[in-house]
Amino acid sequence: MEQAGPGPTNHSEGFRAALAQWRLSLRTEVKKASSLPTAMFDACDPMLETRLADSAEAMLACLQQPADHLRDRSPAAELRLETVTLAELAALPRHVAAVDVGPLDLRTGLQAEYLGILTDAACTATGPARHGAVQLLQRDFALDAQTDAAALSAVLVRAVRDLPADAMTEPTAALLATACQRLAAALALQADAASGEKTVP
Amino acid sequence: MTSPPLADGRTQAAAAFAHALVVAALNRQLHAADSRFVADALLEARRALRAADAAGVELPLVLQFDDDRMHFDGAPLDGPSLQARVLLRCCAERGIAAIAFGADLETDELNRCLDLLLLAHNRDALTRDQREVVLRAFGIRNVRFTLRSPADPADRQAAVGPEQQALRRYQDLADCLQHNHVLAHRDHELAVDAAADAIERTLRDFEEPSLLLSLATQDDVDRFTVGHSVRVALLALQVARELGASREQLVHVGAAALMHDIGKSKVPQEVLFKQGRLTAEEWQWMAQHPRLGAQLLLEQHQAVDPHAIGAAFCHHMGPDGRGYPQPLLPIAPSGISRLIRVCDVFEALTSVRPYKRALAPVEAYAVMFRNEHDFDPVWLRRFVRTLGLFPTGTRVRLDDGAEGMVIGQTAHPERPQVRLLTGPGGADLPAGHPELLVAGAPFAGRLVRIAGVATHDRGVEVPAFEPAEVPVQSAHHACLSSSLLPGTPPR
Repeated sequence: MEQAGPGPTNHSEGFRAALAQWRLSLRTEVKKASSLPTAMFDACDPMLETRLADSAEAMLACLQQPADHLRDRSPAAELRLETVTLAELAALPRHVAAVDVGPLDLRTGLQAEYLGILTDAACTATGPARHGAVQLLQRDFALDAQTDAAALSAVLVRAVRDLPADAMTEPTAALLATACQRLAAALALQADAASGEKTVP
Repeated sequence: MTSPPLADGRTQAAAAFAHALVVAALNRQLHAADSRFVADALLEARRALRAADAAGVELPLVLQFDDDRMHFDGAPLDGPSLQARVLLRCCAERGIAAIAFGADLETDELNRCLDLLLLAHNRDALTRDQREVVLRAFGIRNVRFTLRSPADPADRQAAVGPEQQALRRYQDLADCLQHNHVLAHRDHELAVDAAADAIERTLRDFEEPSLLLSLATQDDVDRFTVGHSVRVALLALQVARELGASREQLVHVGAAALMHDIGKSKVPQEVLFKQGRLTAEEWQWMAQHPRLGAQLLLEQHQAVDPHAIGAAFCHHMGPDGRGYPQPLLPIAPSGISRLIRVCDVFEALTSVRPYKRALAPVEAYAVMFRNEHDFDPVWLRRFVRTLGLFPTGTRVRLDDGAEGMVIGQTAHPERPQVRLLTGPGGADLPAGHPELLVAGAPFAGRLVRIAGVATHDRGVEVPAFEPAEVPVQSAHHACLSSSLLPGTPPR
C-alpha cells in the first residue's frame, strides 16, 4: 500500500510539480548526451545548458502539438464516425438484388417466439412476470401442472423447430430436457400457490 | 456539399435553452424534485441560458407557447417542441402565452418554476389576480409569465395543415411513450392500449409516414428511448405498409415497435445515460433490457399483444437467435421482431448519439450489409427497397453540381425521384426549368446521377451506382404511389 506523506495537496500543485520534475530530467539528459565535460558547460557559456534544454523542450512540444487541420476540428468532428468506403457503397445495389424478396409475412414464427419467451419468463422471472407467463402458457398453450413430461416436451419442440441447427449451443435434447424440468417446476409452483399449499423444497 | 439551411445563431441558442427546459420538465416527471437527474438537467438549462446570452440573445429570453409549439422571436421551435407535449399542455391549462427567463436565473428557482408549471395542485396558481403574490411566495424573481388574452384561446381543434397535424401526431406518439416510461419507472400499470391508440390515430391521419419521419430528424431531446422508439415505429410502419399489411397488422407492428425499448425504463438511469464506456456490470444491465421489457409487459393485468412482447424480447437477436438476451431455449425471432431489429439498428446508425456522429442512410446500409449475418437477409433487403438507398427527404448533390431533394422512390432503390433545388453548380434554377427528375435517367439531354448526399453536418460522396436487376414491385405497390414522371417504374 502506498505510504501517505508530504506531497501535492491538490491537482493543480500536482501538475506543476510534475512539470518541474520533467524539466529537471530534461536538463540532466541534455548534459548526459553532450560530449562536453560537465564543467565545460559552465565554463563556456553559463546559459548553454539552459538554452539546450529549452530547445529540446520546444522541439518536444512541437512534436506533441496536433496539426492545424486537427486543431481546427469542430466538436462534431471529435465524435466517432464509422468509416464506410466507396467500394462498400458501390456494392449496395448488388447486395440488395442478391436475395429475392418474395412475399413476407409479419406473423411468421410468432407462436414459436411467444412460446419461447413465455417459457423463459416462467423459468427465470419472479413475481408478477412469472405469474403472468405461466397463466399465458395455461391459456394459450394448454400447459399446466398436470401436463406430463412427454407432452411438455412436444410443445417446447415447437419453440425451437424453426431454428437453424447451429443455433443450438448444446444438443437440442439436453436443452429441451432442462427446459422441460424447469417449466414443470414453474407450473407446479403456480398450481401450489393457487391452491394455497406449501411447496416442498 | 451545402448542408440544409440552419437557423441563425440566436435562434439556435434559444432552441438549445428550450430543449434543456423540456429535458428538465421530463426529468421532473420521472424523478423526485431533489434527484441528481433533475439537478443535472436544471444545471444544463442554466448553462444553456448563459450560452444564449453569450450568443447575443437578449435576456430575459422569452419563449412563447401555443398549444402545439414553443416559439422564439416569432419563429417556431419544432425540434424542442416534439417531446414537449406535457409542458405545452401544462402551459395551455394555465393560460400561459410566454415565459421570460432572466439572466440571474438559478437552478433552484427554475425548479420551483417547474413546480408551478407541472404539478396539478398548482394549476390555478398563475391567475392574473394572484400571479405576482405566488411568484413572490415561491421566491421566483427571474422568471415572468405572460398570460393569454381571453380572446386568444389557441384552439387545438381549429383546422390545421398537414405539417401541424404531423407535429401533433408525433407529439402524441412521444407523449404516449414518455407516459409509459414514467408508469414503468414507478411500477404502475402501463397504458399499453394508449400505444395502439396513438398508432391508430397516426394511421388515420397519415397514409404515408414520411412527413412524420422528416419531423423525426429534428427530434433531439432524448435519442435513446422516446425519440428513437418513435422513429423505429414510423420506419416499421412504412415497411409494413409497403407489404400491404392490414390496418390491424399495422397497429400491431406500430405499437410493438413503439414499445420495443420499454425495458430501458428498468435500467438504472446512471447506466442508461452514461456517456463513457460501460463497465462489465453496467453492460450486464443494458443487455438485460430486452428481457426486462418482455417481463414488464407480462406483468400487466391487461392482455398485451404477443407481437409487442416478442419485439421487446427479440429486438437484439439475429435471425438465428444469437445476440442478447440469452433465453432458456434458443428463440427464432418472428417476422415483426426481425423487421423491428432492422429498423432499430438503422435508426441508431443514422442518428446522433453523445459518442458518435450520424451516418447517412446509404452509409448505414453499407454498415448493415457488412454485418449482414446479424439481420434477416430478406427483411434487410425489403427495408432497403422500401426506403431506397436515398430515402425521401434526403438532400442530394447531382454530378453537375445541382442540388436537390429526394421526393419519392422508384422500383430501383438507387434511382429515386428528385426535385431540383438549384441549377448546375448551385446556381439558381432558371425560370421554367423542369424541376423533377429520376436519378440515373435522361434529363435535359443527359444522364444525371447522384454524386453526393448531405447529412446535417457533412457531405458524403457516393459512387456511380450500376443498376442491379431488381424484381419489379407488385401491382399493389404500383397502386399505392403515383408516378411523377412518365416512363418511370413507380412505387
